[in-house]
Parts: sequence; C-alpha cells; structure tokens
Amino acid sequence: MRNGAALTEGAVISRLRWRCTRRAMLEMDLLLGRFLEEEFPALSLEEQKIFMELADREDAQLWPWVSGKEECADIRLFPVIQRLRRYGEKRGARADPASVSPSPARQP
Amino acid sequence: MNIPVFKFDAVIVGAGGSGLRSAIQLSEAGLKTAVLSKVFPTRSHTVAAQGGVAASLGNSDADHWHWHMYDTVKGSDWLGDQDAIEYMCRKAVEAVVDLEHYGMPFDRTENGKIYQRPFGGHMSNFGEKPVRRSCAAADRTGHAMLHAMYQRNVKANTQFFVEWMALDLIRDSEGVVVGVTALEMETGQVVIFHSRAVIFATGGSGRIFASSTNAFINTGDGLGMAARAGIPLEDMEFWQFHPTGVAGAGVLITEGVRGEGGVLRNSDHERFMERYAPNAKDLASRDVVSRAMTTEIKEGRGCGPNKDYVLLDITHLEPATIMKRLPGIREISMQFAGVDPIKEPIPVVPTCHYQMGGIPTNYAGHVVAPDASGRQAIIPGFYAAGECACASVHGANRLGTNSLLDLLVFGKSAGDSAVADVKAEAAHRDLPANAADYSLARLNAINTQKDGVSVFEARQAIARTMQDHAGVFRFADLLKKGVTQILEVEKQVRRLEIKDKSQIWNTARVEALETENLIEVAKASMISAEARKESRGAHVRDDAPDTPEFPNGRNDKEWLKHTLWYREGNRIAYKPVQMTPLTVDTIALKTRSY
Ligand SMILES: Cc1cc2nc3c(=O)[nH]c(=O)nc-3n(C[C@H](O)[C@H](O)[C@H](O)COP(=O)(O)OP(=O)(O)OC[C@H]3O[C@@H](n4cnc5c(N)ncnc54)[C@H](O)[C@@H]3O)c2cc1C
Repeated sequence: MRNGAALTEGAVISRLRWRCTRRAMLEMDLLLGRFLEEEFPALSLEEQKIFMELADREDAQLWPWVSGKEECADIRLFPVIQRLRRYGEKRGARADPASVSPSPARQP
Repeated sequence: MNIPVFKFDAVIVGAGGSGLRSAIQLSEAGLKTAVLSKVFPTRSHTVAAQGGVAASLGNSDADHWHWHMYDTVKGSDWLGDQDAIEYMCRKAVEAVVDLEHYGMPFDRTENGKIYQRPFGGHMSNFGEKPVRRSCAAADRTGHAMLHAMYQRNVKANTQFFVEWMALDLIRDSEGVVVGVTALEMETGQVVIFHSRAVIFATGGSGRIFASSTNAFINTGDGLGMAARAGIPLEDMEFWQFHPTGVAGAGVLITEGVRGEGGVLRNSDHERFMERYAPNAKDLASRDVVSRAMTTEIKEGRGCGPNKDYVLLDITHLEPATIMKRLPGIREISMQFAGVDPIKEPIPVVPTCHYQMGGIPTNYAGHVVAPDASGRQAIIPGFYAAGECACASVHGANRLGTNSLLDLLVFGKSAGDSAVADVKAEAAHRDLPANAADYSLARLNAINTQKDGVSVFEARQAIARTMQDHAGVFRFADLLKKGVTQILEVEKQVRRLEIKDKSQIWNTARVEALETENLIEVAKASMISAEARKESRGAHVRDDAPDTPEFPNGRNDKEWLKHTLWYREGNRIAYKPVQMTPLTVDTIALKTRSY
C-alpha cells in the first residue's frame, strides 16, 4: 500500500510533507520540513527524486550525513546531501531565537 | 455510512519502544495483533534517546535494584507509586537481557559484559555516590532498541498499519473498551478496529509547549483519545524541562557541553549560575539551572531583542576541544541558532523535555480510574504503557534513562495482562451501534467549518499559552490567567478550518486532528498545575518557596497525592500515592536534596 499507484501530484507532496515533518528527531523535522518549503520546488526533477528517496531514509543514517559527522559515500545522493547541509547552515543564519515555531509552519 | 471493521485480538496504538515491546508479548502468545502508527515503526521518537536504559546489572560497579528503587522514589520527590517503582527496578535486569536476546547491540566491557555508564541521580547504597547503571548502544540506544524489537515482531507476525492515525477509543455501554477508530492517511478511509484489548503506547505530548525538545509527532493523541472517552489524566502538571534547548528551535544541547566547561551568561555577560549554585555552578541539577535561567529572564537580564533567552558560552574553549569533545554541537548551533559557537555564544532557553503524567495505570499495565464508589477500578480491555502512561514511576520528576526502562517493563506487563485477559474471554464483545459516529462527526466538523481558525494559529496559541503561563517556574497569577486563556484557545480549536478537502493524503486534516489532542493535554496540564498549591519535583511555584516548615516548598500533609483531571467540566480529583512497595519497606519521606 505504501507504493500506491494512483497518487495525484498534490498527494505526493502531502505525503512527502508528512514524511519530512513527522520524523524521529526534531532536528530532522526542522531541517527537512523547512527545506521542503523553501528549496524543494526549485530542485531539478532528478534532485527532487533523490530528496524524496532521502526523506524515506532513517534519521540515524541521515543526520550524521547532513551534520557532517559522516561522509555519505553514495555519489548519487551526495550532491543533495551537500545541498541540505548548506541550506541548514544558511537557514540557521536566519534563525530567529525569539520566534518559537511550535509546529511545521504553514498548512497546505 | 458503511465503515469497514477489522477484527483483531489486540490492537496497539503506537510503534515506539513501548508499543513494540507489548506487541512481542501478544504476537508470541499467538494472538492476532495489530500495531497502528503515524509513522514507520523505526521512525518513532524513541530513536531520539541516546543516554541509555537503566538497570542494576552491576557490571561496572556493585549495584542492587533496591538502590535503584530508592533513587527513583527520591527522584520522583515521593510522588511515584512505590509498588510500581519496586516492580520496575526489579524487572530491569530481565528487561535488558530480553533486549539482548532480541539482538540489541549493547556496548560491552572487555570481558564481554554489557558496559554501563553513569547518569544523573543514579547512586549506589541508597544515595551515597554515583553508580554506573545505564546500558547503551553507542549514541544510538533508542534506534537500536526499535530495530531489534521491530525485527522480533516481524518474525512473530505482528501486523503493522503504517501511516494510520487512531482517532477515538470505542467503549460499550458498560464502559468496556472494544476497539478504536482509525484513519488511513493514504486513502482518507475511516476504519473500526474491533478488538478484545486496546493498548495505548502513543508517546509524549511535548509539543504543547512553544519550546520543546520533542519531535513534531508528539501531540499527545493517546491522552486526547482517553480524555474524550471519559478517562482522567494523572499528574499532568509535572513536565520535565531541559535547561539548554536552542532558543526558537528547541533542539537539545546536551549536558556534556557544560561538562566540558560551557557556561551560561545573561545580558550583562555575567556567569549567573555562580550566584544560584556557588558549588556546582553551571553543572547544578536540571531543575536548578532551568529555574535560574527563568529568573534571569524574568528579571530583565535575558538576551536578544525580546530579552527572552540566555547564552551558553563555549567561546573560551579551544576550537580543537570543541571539535573533538563536542562533535555535532557546532553543527546544531550553526543549523538551528545560526551561530558558530567557536566565535559566538548559543541562545538557549529551558525547554520542555518529558511528560511525567499520563493515562493512569497500575504496574500490570491496566488503565485504572475511580469507579462510582471512588475505588480505583480497572477499565476492562484498556491498557497503556510508555510516556503516554502514568504507572506512576516518575512521580514529580523522572530520572534520566528510567524512561526507556519504563517502556520495556510496562510494555511487557501491559502485553502480558492483555494476553491473560484475552485468553480468559471466550469471544469479542459486540461493538456498540454506530461505533464510528463520534469520530466521523469530528471529521465532518473539520471538513465543513467556514470562517474558522487555521491549524497553524491554533497551535501557536496553545504553545504560547503554555510556555508563558506554565513554564519551568510557575506563578499563581500567571497560572490563573493561563487557565482562562487556555479555555479561550479551546474555543478556537473547536472552530478549526482546513482549506484542503481531499481524501488522499490530507495532512492538513491529520494536523487538525492532532491539534484536537494537543488542546486536551494543554488544558489538563494548566488546570492541574493551577490547582496544586505546593512545589514538588518539576512543579515549582513562586508562592510555595523553600521554608523550614516546607523544605523545597513541598507540603506532604496536603499534597502527597496524585492529581486526576477529567475533561468533562474540567473537574479535578485526587488519589493517594501508593506508599507501600511490593516486598520491601516503604522508602520514608525525606527532603529531596543532592
Ligand atoms: C531528545 C530526547 C532524548 C531522550 N533520551 C532518553 C534517554 O537517553 N533515556 C531514556 O530513558 N529516555 C530518553 N528520552 C525519553 C524517551 O525517549 C521517551 O520517553 C520514550 O522514547 C517514549 O517512548 P514511547 O514508546 O512511549 O513513545 P514513542 O517512541 O514516542 O512512540 C509513540 C508511537 O505512537 C504512535 N502514535 C502516536 N499517536 C498515534 C495515533 N493517533 N495513531 C497511531 N499511532 C500513533 C507514533 O507513530 C509512534 O509510533 C528522551 C527524549 C527525548 C525527546
């Protein structure tokens, strides 16, 4: 059922949003959720597919990659991981410690 | 409307540590068992636990379950039930050994035994000196635990319903729990799970606070469902705060940072902990540091444009030390605070971390609530375990690493109780007529609301109200205002509106449903906190200060009792703390000091 065939475009994004913002670690909810809103639309189709694949990986694997603790050896995934990491640091630079974000920002 | 009915012997809501542990008992006993989860099981929030699981194995230092029990009672500020605490501490060794048999890759000593490390509040010989009691698998304890138990469940034929959200509990006319309604996210279909046992293992609810270390999934669904079904919530005023969450993001900065020499500073650049705890300074216990931070902010010495955080400073440490000793901290600061901690201090605030209260259970995992005569009675067919449950072993304050232990021990006992009860009953009880109507009406209200309130607004309102009125340090006037305000917010939640009306993968709808659970938890917490007029453990009131008559502000004569909050009428009741352990003597009341 997880690979349902008749998913519309909107549903694909909704499902992706869920998988980006209901993760095991808060760090990854914040990072992937914000990336999805702000950068995902501008990715190439190929990169979007890789991002979706990454979103299905587990945080225990993904977090060390995007936090630079471990190097991802898969050259196919590497560029998107780099992008996530750079995005995180760039987004961090805009972080506003005074504004609390209790939930994934805007609703569809 | 024709609602499909799926029939199981047992349904478990939640696939974190507690749900998976229960499921092993049920499936291995041959029962047809369903596990529902909002996410794939090994993505449950248990993954975030790194510190380890407590058990008095005695591998690294001499240890005994009785010492562990003493520490837990003391940690709980004597609000924990001593029968449940004895049970948990005695079962800890077995719980860890079971996990090892499931394939959990614990760290080992040179001679092949499970390696153990120290953790705050765990002592030997009844509080004498720190003991190494925590068993871990590197910094992936929770992750490894879920993987080991998930595999075991797959082998035992547990049936998983992934990306399903349970909506409501179904009780028959006698109050017996006979199933749950649930929503399949992929199709938008509502289904009835008809079962002979329902176990809630839905985890914590930390997202009621604006600043929380909890992942977004922790919306207290189990508590919302229980409250709507007329079951009280216990001790919801007790929330553990971690002193150093990144301001604005909540992401946890480990205690290790202060251990390596990090210090907290206010807007005057003062190392203020020297005033509050002259000896331990920045390494004082979590609650002491959190309260000091809050006092600084409240007295106008916070930092930033709104003066609402303090700074965690490691700029005086060698960059090489930071990179070597505190890996990950630099990246967390850069990604979530936007500062490079080698050059600039990190903005931090006391951040909600763990929920001590929850659905009231006994140590066998049965949900219990007062019956008509006031006696604590089992609610047939209903069990709960893990962070959503209140056994109560953590009382007013949880010790680190005791939570993973709670999942294992009470996950198992709830599973065992359910197996015994199911085997004793000949058949499923009938479903009440229109068992899904209540859930369908809730869905319909969300789908048809016009000119309503967005989920985003409602969640902000809940989180801000809780953060501003029932934070780590509490004030009578703020709590009173908080009660009024949270009831106002509730009115907004009744009018949630979503723009997306589609059936397939409608995450807006799911988030609206989550918000309806958050508000129940928020009300329970605010109202219970306002009502408890003493300080105890994590609940600290300005108007219940430390005096010779009431050390630490704790008043055992009036307040040595558990709170029960009922959704209907926001009624509060109390029940006694179980002071009698199973086999040993009562651990007598004492002032909690370290
Ligand atoms: C950052 C962090 C670090 C921690 N470190 C430690 C530590 O080192 N040691 C320790 O002992 N404790 C630690 N804790 C606490 C501990 O991790 C948690 O208390 C514990 O993991 C909770 O487990 P659980 O099984 O109760 O719930 P979870 O693991 O949160 O699982 C809840 C499950 O319920 C499901 N669910 C929820 N609602 C629904 C619904 N409506 N329908 C269907 N499914 C639903 C979810 O999908 C999930 O599968 C830590 C907590 C945090 C936040």
